[in-house]
Amino acid sequence: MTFKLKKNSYLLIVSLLLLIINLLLIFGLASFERIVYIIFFYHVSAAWLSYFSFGVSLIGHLLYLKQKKMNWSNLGKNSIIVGVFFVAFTLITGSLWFNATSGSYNNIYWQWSDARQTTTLILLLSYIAYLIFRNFIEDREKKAKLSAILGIVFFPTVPLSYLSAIIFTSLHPLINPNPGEPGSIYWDSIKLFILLFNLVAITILFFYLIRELKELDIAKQKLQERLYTKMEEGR
Amino acid sequence: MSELILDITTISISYVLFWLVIIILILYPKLSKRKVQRRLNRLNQNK
Repeated sequence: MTFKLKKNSYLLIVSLLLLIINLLLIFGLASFERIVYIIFFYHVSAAWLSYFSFGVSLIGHLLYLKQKKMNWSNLGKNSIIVGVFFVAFTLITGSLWFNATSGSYNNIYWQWSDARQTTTLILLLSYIAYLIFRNFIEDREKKAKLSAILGIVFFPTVPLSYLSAIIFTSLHPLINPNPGEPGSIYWDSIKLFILLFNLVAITILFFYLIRELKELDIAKQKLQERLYTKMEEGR
Repeated sequence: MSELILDITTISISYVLFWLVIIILILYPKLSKRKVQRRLNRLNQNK
């Protein structure tokens, strides 16, 4: 019996392998004062992937408006699906981390005054609204056009979420080379290497997911066409 | 509860969540595609 793997499956296998190796690297090489700081690798990777996904969605939407090709609109939508999951994960782990460090396990998960948390929540809700809105429109062309506009309109929430910790008041630490300052514990070549390793693994996973979601769109399109011809035959 | 146990609980929840997100994202297109394919096959059989 021969077992043939699809081309796309290699991307999945590579990314999962890298993620497992990354876990070994975290426990083998990275040393932290407290084990909870390991969240850093997953929280930052997920945040990176969500920003990256929304960036790809912006490109997809702009290209759709320029070329009117449905593929670009689907790329925009699919990137947002991936981004929404990862930004939700980022928010949850951020809250858990906040409770563990700044909150000292006093059940303080959320602070509305924290700009990074609040703007990231706005980002998540905006893109969830995008997906709901897109689902409501029946006509394909109209759906693609309106959701492209909405995708572009919502994109500024991405840089806003990123810059919020820099320009507004936030307890969110930023990786910092100055010893003693918040975020300096991550300024270490080994930790940064492990983080980069995780970023590569998770980005490969993104490309796998996008290709799978594209195949799903093609299958859905085929079904719609088949249903349409069946309806025509019935008339 | 000691801080270490709380830390381990927090990191475990985060790690499980991380894989949950990945598994959902891997399974969603696969299962949906299978469902669509089944509908297509049924439509073709009822030709």
